[in-house]
Order: sequence, then structure tokens, then C-alpha cells
Amino acid sequence: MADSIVVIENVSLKYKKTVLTDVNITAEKGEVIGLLGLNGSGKSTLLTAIAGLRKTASGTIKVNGKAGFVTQENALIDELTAIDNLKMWTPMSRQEIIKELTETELSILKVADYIDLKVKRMSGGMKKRLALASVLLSKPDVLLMDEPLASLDIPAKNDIINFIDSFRSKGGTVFVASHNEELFRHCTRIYLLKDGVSKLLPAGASPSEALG
Amino acid sequence: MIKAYCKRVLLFLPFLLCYFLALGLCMLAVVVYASEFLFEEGSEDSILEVACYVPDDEAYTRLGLNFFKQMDSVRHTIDIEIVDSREEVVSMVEDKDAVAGIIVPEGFIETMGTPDAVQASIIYRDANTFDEYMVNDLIYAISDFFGTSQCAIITAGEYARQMGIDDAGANSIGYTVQDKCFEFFLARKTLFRKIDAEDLVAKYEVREQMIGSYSLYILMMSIFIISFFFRGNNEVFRARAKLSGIKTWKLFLVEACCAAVMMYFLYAITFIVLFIIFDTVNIAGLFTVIPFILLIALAGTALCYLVKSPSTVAYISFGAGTALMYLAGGLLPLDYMPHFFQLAAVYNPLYYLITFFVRSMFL
Repeated sequence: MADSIVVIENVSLKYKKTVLTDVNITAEKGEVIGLLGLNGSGKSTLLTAIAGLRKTASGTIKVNGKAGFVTQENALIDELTAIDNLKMWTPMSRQEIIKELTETELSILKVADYIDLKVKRMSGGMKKRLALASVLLSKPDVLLMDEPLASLDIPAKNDIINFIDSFRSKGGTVFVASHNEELFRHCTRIYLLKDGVSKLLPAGASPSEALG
Repeated sequence: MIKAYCKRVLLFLPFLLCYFLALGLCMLAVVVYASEFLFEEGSEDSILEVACYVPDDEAYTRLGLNFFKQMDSVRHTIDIEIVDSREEVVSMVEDKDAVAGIIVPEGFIETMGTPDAVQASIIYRDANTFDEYMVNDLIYAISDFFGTSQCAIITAGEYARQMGIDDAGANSIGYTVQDKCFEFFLARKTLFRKIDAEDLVAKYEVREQMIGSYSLYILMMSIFIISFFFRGNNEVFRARAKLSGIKTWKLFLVEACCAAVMMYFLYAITFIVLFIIFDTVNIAGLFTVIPFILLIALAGTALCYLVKSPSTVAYISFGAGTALMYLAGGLLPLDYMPHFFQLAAVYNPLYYLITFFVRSMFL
């Protein structure tokens, strides 16, 4: 528990109706936590609560560090270029941003290749990678990803998965809500959210079988 | 972040300008059409021709007509042209050179107070404009007045005879009543609601009111276009701002300022165009409008923060804005609306906003 970066204890959450009644998850540094569940089971709601955007009805969520949230939607502005979108959230200059994008683990995302392209001209995969880079420039300790592989082609999926592995290897913690079997293979632990309760899946258990 | 927003404003302006031009052209058409409602001194469009035939020996009738032509409500509206024959009256009306014609018969004044009174003929043609309707109504009302006067004169003479007064005395009483009727008629210069067309205040008031309120309406409606610009209350945006340590209220202020800049841009264009066209536009209006624009921008941004969906913002700003603007007399002058609406307008905050806005815009 000494290295616990996220501690979720007896949390219940309401979104229109009560979706989660008793969630208990602890994440250490360098872990990738998978959140599995049917649509409406509360995966996204839990991630928004960890990001501090939603209050818990009861219980506590402690995050020891900065949490960066990458949602299914993106915080990108269509009319602006990739670099302008990145500059919107950071005081860094263009050169500093490009250096970050090319000389750190962010180079996996290959955002520098389309740095001057307007968002409205980008593909879904490019947008997803740019949104991720935008969050990572703020150097979060915990990365919260909601359906990170949804509607991506295979190369884009591989880039995201490679990045998650790289982020984890450098001590970062990742929470991913997904339905993707391949992504779950990269998780250190998988929690099933069912009937409002979190349940840790045994190592080696098949996510699709767990869902029933 | 501010730099990025400035860039967004610049990129957004052409789109906003197109919207403004489209809406502005529609509004301009309405404002131009609205001038049909006005009395305009010296304007050929608003002074309507009425042909009139008066026999040569009808000196009193000619005198009465001259008095009539000098009435405020008449001289800015009707030009009574005395023609030489009955046929000319008819042909002028038929050829649409005159909106109406009056044919005064011989002995019109002499027989007015007697049971043998002859009637003047009034020839109408279909009225197409508001002014033409008004002139027709005016002639009809005056005809009605003459008829009523005749009844009073005849009744007075008959009553005098029944009281045993001889014909000369009864006629004298009839003429006295006739004089009184004319006295009343000539004193009643405001037979219709008087609009001070003489000092040109009224005609500008209505037009300025319309232009001012339409400009305000365009600014208010721009909220729903600008709403697509706002992202601040978007959950993802809030998460991103939180991670970067940017407070939500700062995001709100930046967006409200951007909205205000865009609205001011729209207003400045409107203002320059109006300044070129009208000599009553107050140059200080470029500055006095700033509080209004800030108010609308803040209200619009707040609405966008409360209502997350841009389309819902559009429905609310368009629906509620148009309804309130209409009820405040911003789309149609209150004078032309039902009495109840005129009374209810004083409880509408937009009524006061329009008044202040117009005052800030024009001298």
C-alpha cells in the first residue's frame, strides 16, 4: 500500500440513477488496471470520479498525483492545428513541444508527423493520438483512458498499446475502460463492474467469459 | 490558451459574418418595408393624391377645403388636387393617379342645413398600402362627420319650427348650429392621433426603434451561432483544464470575452453601415454599446455553461429571444400591436433594454 497511487474505498456513484454501490480498487505505480463491464455498468462514471469531475455518493477516492483523462470524445478544437491545440493547454513553445513529441516516449504516438494539420482534417486515430499527447504534455501520474481503442485501425491500436506499455514501464499508472480483449492482455489486473460492485478477475481469466 | 482562443475568434469571424449578412439583409428588408407605416414629410411615397371637383360657385366649399388641407393630420398625408370636371376625378382614380376622388355638387354648402341637402360623392379604389387605407378611412370619417353635422343642423331647425319659431328664426338656429359644427371641426386638428411629423421626430423614432431593436436582436441571436464556439462546460474540456491547472471560471471569462469581441465586430459593421446611411447615428454609440455586448456575451456564455448541448442553446436563445423581443415591441412597433400587449410590454426587461440600446445608438 505504500506505493498506492489510487485508492478507491467503498465508493458508490450516482449518474441519473445509482450505477455503482460498492467499488474497492487500489492501484500501485506501474500498474495497468482494466475495467470491464457491460454498457451502462459504470466504467466511464468511475473514471470521471477518479478524474475528480464527479462527486461520490459515499466512500472515498484518493489520487496521489495528477490524473489525466482521455475520454471517448476529445478536447480538441476542430478549427485549430495540432500544435495550436497542444499550445492551448501548455505554456511550452512550439520547439519545446516538438522536442517532447520526438524525444520522449510520446514519439510512439507519431504526433509530430502531422503537427501542422487542422484537427478537422485528421482521421479518428490521429485525433485519438493527439488527444493523448495533449494530456501527456501535462505529465500526469495516472492516465485514465475510456475506450482508447474504439474505432481505431490496427496500426493506431498498436501505437496506443505500445504507448501504454511504455508509460507503465516508466512508473505510470493506467486505468482503461474497454471491451478489447487484446488490451486486457496488457493489464496487470482486471476488475469486472457488475451489479454496481467491483470484482477482481483471477489471473488468466477470460474477460468475455467473465461478462457472460 | 488565450492565444489559441484569439486564433479561434479570427477563424470563426468569416462564418459569423456570413450569418450576420444573411440575417441583416432579412432585417433590412423588414425595416425598409416598415417605412410604409410612417408619415414622411416631403416624400412622394407617403403623400397621397386625392382628386376633388368643386363647382366654381362653391366658394365656401373651397374655403372649407383650404382649412381642411392645413390640418396637421392631412397636410403630411394627402395632397388634395382641385380638378376641373367630374370626369377628371373619375379618370384620375381609375388611372391610379389618385387614391380617391371627391365630387362636390352644386349647392352643397347652401343646402347642408336643410332637408334637401345634396350629397358629395366619394370615389375609392382598392387600397394597397397602409397609407392608402388611412386616407380612405380619413375621407370616410370626414364624410361621416359631415353627415352627422347635417343631422344636427336639420334636427335643430326642425325642433325650432315645432317650438313655433318662424322659418327665418329656425333657419337662423340651423345656421348657428352649423357654425358651431364648423368651429368644432376646425378646432379638432387632432382628429387622429397626432404624430409630430413636422419636426421629423416621429418618423425617425419608429425607424430608429426598428433598426436599433433589430440590431439588438441580431446580437442576441448570434448567441446560438457562437454557442458552437463554447466548449467550457464540456466534461472533457473541464478534465483537460483541471489537469493543466486552469480554473473553470477563467475558461468561462476567456470564452465570454471572445463572444463579446465577436459580437462587437458584428455591431461595428452594423454601426458603420448605419452611420453612412443615417445622419442621426451617434458616434458615441460605438462605445456606449460595450456594456450591452458584455451583458449579452456573459448571459450567452452562462447559458452555454448551463445547457451543454449547442442545439438546446440554439432552441432556447432563438425561441425565448424571439418571443421576448416580439412582446417588447422589438420586431413590430408596440403601436401596431393589441392594447394588451402594449400594457404587458412594460413588464418585459427587453423593452427597457431596447429603449436604452436605441438611445445609445442614435442622437
